[in-house]
This record gives sequence, C-alpha cells and structure tokens, in this order.
Amino acid sequence: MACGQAESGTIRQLIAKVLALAIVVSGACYAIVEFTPYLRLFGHERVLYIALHRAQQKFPEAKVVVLGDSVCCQLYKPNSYRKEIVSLASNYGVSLLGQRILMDIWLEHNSDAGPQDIALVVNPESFRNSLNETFTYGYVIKPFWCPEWRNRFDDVESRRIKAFRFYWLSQFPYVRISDWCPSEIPSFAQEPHFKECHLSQISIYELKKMEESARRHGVRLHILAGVVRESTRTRDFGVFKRQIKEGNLEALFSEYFPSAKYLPDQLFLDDVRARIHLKDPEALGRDALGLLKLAGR
Amino acid sequence: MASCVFYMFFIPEYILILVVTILIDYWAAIGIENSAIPATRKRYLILSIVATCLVLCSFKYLNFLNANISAVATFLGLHYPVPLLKIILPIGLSFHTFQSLSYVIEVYRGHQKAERHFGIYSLYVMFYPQLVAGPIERPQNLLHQFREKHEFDYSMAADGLRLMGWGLWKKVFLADRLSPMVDKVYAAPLNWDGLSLALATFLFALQIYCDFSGYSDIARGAARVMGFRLMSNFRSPYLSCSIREFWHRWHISLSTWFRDYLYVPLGGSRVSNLRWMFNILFTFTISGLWHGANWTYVIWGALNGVYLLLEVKLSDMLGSRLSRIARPLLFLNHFTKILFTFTLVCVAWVFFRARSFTDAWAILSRCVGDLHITRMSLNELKLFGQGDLAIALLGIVLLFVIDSAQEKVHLNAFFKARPAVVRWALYCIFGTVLISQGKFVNANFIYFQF
Repeated sequence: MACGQAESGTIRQLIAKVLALAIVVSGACYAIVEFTPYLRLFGHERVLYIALHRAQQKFPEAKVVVLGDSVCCQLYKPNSYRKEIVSLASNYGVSLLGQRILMDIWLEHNSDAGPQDIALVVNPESFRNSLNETFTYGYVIKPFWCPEWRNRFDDVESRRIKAFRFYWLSQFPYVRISDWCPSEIPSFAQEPHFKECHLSQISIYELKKMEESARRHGVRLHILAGVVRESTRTRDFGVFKRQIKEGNLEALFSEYFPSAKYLPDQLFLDDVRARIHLKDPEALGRDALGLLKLAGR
Repeated sequence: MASCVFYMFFIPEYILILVVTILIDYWAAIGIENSAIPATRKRYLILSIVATCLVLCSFKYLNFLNANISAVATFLGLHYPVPLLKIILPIGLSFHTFQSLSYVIEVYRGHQKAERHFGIYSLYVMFYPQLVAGPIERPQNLLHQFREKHEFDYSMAADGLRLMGWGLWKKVFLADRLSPMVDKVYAAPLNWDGLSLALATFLFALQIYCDFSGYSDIARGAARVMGFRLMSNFRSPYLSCSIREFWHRWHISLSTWFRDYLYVPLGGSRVSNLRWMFNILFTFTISGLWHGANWTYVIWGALNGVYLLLEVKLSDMLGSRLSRIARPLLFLNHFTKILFTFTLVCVAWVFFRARSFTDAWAILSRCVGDLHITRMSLNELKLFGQGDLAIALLGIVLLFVIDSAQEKVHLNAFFKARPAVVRWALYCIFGTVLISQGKFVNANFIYFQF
C-alpha cells in the first residue's frame, strides 16, 4: 500500500472511492444492527430495544409485567433486575401500537408459565399519540416494521405506517442505526374516522386489541396512571371520560383514575417527567405503584 | 445560479433583499473607483454603508428598538402605540451585509479594484458555502478566485471532503448531542442546582464552538472541493492563554472585520488611554449587538471588552514580575492560563445563552453559591442523560486532543502521510460512528439565527 504519496486521481476515481466507502460503511452498519446488541446498548431508542429483547425472554419468578411510557420507565427501570416485576417500559413514542406488540411478544414467549397480571402504566397525555409524530418513525416504524415483526400489523395499522413518506427507508442500514427521521409527518385529521380528541382513535383501537389478547391468554390487564403532577388533580377530563364510555372501555379504565399518584408540581422536570427519585432514589421505593399488591388480588 | 437556488430554498422572496444590497454596493464601488473627487467618493461610501446598515437594522433591530422605546414609554407613563412587527430575519443577513461592506470599504481605501462584472460580484456576496454563516470573506482573498480557471484537483477535493467530514462530526456528533442537555437546563435555570448549571454552561461552550466551527469547516470543505479557498475561522480557541489570544482564535473573520472597520477607524490604540478604552468597549459591545437583538448579547460583548481591558492593564502593571516567579512552573502556568481564560469565556457565555439578564444572573449566582458536589447534585446530572453525556465527554476529549495536536502538527499532512489501509480504516470507523451516534434530527445551526 502506498505510504506518504501525494493524492492524485480523476473526479471519477474520487466519486468511486466515496461510493465504495458508503457501501463499506453500510455493510458495517448492517452487521452491527443484525449481529450485535448495539441497538440495546448504544442505540438512540435503546429503551425500546431493551424492552423488545426482554419481551422474548422467560422470567419464571415474575408475578407482574409492566408496560408503559417514559414515566413508567423512571419508576420501573427496564434493565434493572427485579425478580417479581418484569419491566418492559419504554417511551411515549412507542404508542399503544408498540405497547400492544410488546405485550403480544411477551405473551407468546411466556404463555405457559408467565405472570397473570400485566400493568400498562401510561400518563394521561400518552393516549393522544396518534402515530403522527416525528418520533413515531424512530419508535414504531424502525423497530417494528422489520421482517421479524411486520406480520403483527393489520391492514388498518399498515395503512397508517405507509402514510409516512419514507417508511420504506426505515430498514436501510444507515437509517436503522441512526436517529434520522423524516421531518414530514402525515396528518390524519382529514380522515373522518380519526378525529383527534384526548384518546386518539388508534389508541382506542389498540386498547381493544390488548384487551382481547389478554382475555385470550388468560391474563389480567390493568391500565394505571402512574405519577402525575398535583395540578392535574383539578383538570377536567370530561372529554377523556366521555371517550372511554363511548368506546366501551369502562371496564379497562376502571383502575386508571383512582390509581394516579399525585406529586407536587415542583418535583417534575416538565409536564410529565418526575425527578423525585433523582433527589432521593429511595423515595418511590422499588414498587412505587404497588403492582405486587395488584397482582396478589 | 446554484447560490440563488440555495438561498431561495429558505424564503424565496428574500432573494430580493440580497439583490437590492448587491446592486447598491456594486454600483457604489464602481462610483467610488470612477470618481477622483474625494467628497464624491465619500458620498458613495456613506450611501453604501447607510443603505446596507438600514437593511440590516430594519430586519434585525427594529423590533428590539421598538420594544425598548415601548418599555421606556411605559416606565414614563406615556402611551406608545407602535406594535411589534412580525419580521423573519433573512438567513445570513448579518454575514453577507458585512462581507459586501468590507468590499466597498476596501475599494474606497484603494486596496481592491471595483469588480465590473456583475455576475462575479454577485457570486462574491452570495457564494453559497459561506452565504449563511460565514466565514466573512475579504475581497482580496475571494474575488480573484472567481476569475481564475478551476480544474479538478484531486488532492484539494479530498482535503475538502475530509474537512467537511470533520465539520459534520463536530456538528452532529457533539453539538447536537449537547444541545438538548443545555436547552433543558437553560429553559428553566431555577429548577437546577449549581453543579448542573455549571456543567450546562461548560457544555454550551463546547456546543457553540462545535456548532459554529463545524459549520465553518463544512463551508470551507465544500468550497475546497470546488477549488476555492476560504479563510480559516477558528484556531483551537479554547486553548488560548489570554482573552486577547482567544479573540485571535475565535470567529476570526468577524473579529478581524471589527478590528479593521470599526476599531482602527476609531483610532485603535493610537489614541489617549481613555479613548482607547472607549474604542475597545465600543467595538466589543457592537460585536455583541451584531449577534442578536437582545441586551444579553450586548452584555456578553461588553463583558469581553472589560476582560480585555483588565487583562491589558493588569499585564502592564504586573508584567515581568509575575513571569519571573512563574518561570519554574512554566507548564502549570500555561495550563492555568488556559483554564482561567476558558472560565472567563464560560462566564460570558452565560449571558450569551440565557434568555434574559435575570436568568443569567440567577445562573451565575447559583454556580458560585450553590456549587456543591453531593449525592443529590450528582444524581441530578443523570437528567442530562447518562449515556449521551458519557459519549459527549469522550467526544470532547477527542476534540481537545485533535485541537492540541493541530497546534504542533499539520494534521492533514500527517494524516495523508499514513498508509492507505490506515486512512481507509479510519474513514470506515469514523463514518460508522458518525452515522450511528450522530444526531440528525432537528439539526439547526446556532449561527444561522444571526
């Protein structure tokens, strides 16, 4: 190999070298994604990949499985070992579509000896997710629209995914390994079936699927609110409650509002994320929402 | 044409503003050169300066002026009916107006011949790699390059691509990784303790350096691929041993612009002591105002001016006495100077980044009065995102290593002298790390807003 020679060549040679580099890097990205735990360890959406990995494992001593958003993640860290509580908590961006897929994967791998209780801990705002946000691409399309999990999307869900302009690029190695997402987001406001209220239509759709899946596998599904700001106590959830009634989800939401644990507003970093556990890690305990008691009923 | 298309990609109508300023300065420069009468030449110069500054001030400072007059009127109990206007700042306005001003002034001074070819002059103003965020070029460096024949130069193109890659790394791997951490803290500073605020300030110092120098490198690299050489805008500024040195290394194109077209015409240092102090303070204050229409930028600029004044005065007073004492501790002295200068610069950055003077003061007060390293304050740091923070700190170490190495070795030549297999391995690793760990979402450049 040449050492110390001045660089020379034509423009075609330079372009060829750049293209060759792009192909080699693409191959490296593909190998890293497919054959290493990179996405779980260093990936931009690693919290979801950790949950996806754990959903395929068996936890014989587990009594309850918890799914949820980032607030749930703060209360039940996915990668910290708890014998009785298996946390598959991830992020708001995963949406209820992602939560449903995680739950189904868990149930298929743990149908014989798994826990009888599944808790879905979701902040009230998380139900608004209508698969039309920038991070839908990173938290739903990239991880789940892959050959391994694509068959879990029905026609309704597939149509929503395909509304994203570059959904077909999501499995390209460069895109899969990076945090790139298209800036254009589909708007579903024009569709008459998908009027956005507090509880998005896709959230209602997925909740019913989760209810059915839980019934089929003989498990109890609990939907809980988690920790919320004190100022939320006086908020009017009339629209939310009306939608629960209209969607025949009252049984599913029977524990939701009573389960809310109100904390002073100053203990929150922003509208949803608490910081009490950082000021005092033991303040919320290892089972902040009493899930083990829930499972024992 | 490519530069026009590039500019029109943002707000197409604003190309008219660019065309108007180009026409005014093109015509003014020719008028200056054609006229032998000093008064006429001066009239053309003043017309150009006034017109260009009017465009700049209308878009950038009108609302700021309006808001301040309104505040004074309210304080005096007077009614001030003029509302704030909804003005979107044309992208790159501060940069290309300064670049065209420097052209007219250099023609006036006789250091540059007026460009008669309208197309070439237009290209000088709107050359797309440096149109939106500099470097602010001088006509002596750039104009003649548009007249030269450019053939493909493999070595130059390869250098350009490497420079672009390095700039991209600074931007998407470091600056955009640090941005949300800083934003989180500076959005609500009273929610954070001293250690977090100090860390956020340190991270902002690196963010703005990586963001801006990253853009400059991409711009210079893109120009170099096409065979053009743009001036260097940064020279490892955080390795400066003094404030004076810092301003020779940071945003070099802007600081030299203010030195040559404001500080020196005011008299520079060849005036009385009092007048020299005024010149320094005035120049830095205007430099701060150039960055944005907010009192925090003015304070930032003025503070840097105060730093420089104190540094010069103290070094004059203490001078050789300190050098003799410090000689045995040469290394420590050098490192201490770098650390001290960096700390002063970070204090000034607080004003640059904070939303208001109140926020800036609160941040500095807490950094001084509430800087305790306790279990709780260390726990708070987890909110920065442990993984991202660790990766960012590794990147910062690498950045400082490369910046330090560049002080001693011409890194590009050193790199080109390595065997091809080593270079290609590094390209692959670099490319993979950049794509996998870069932040490509919402990647805006900080200096675009100026």
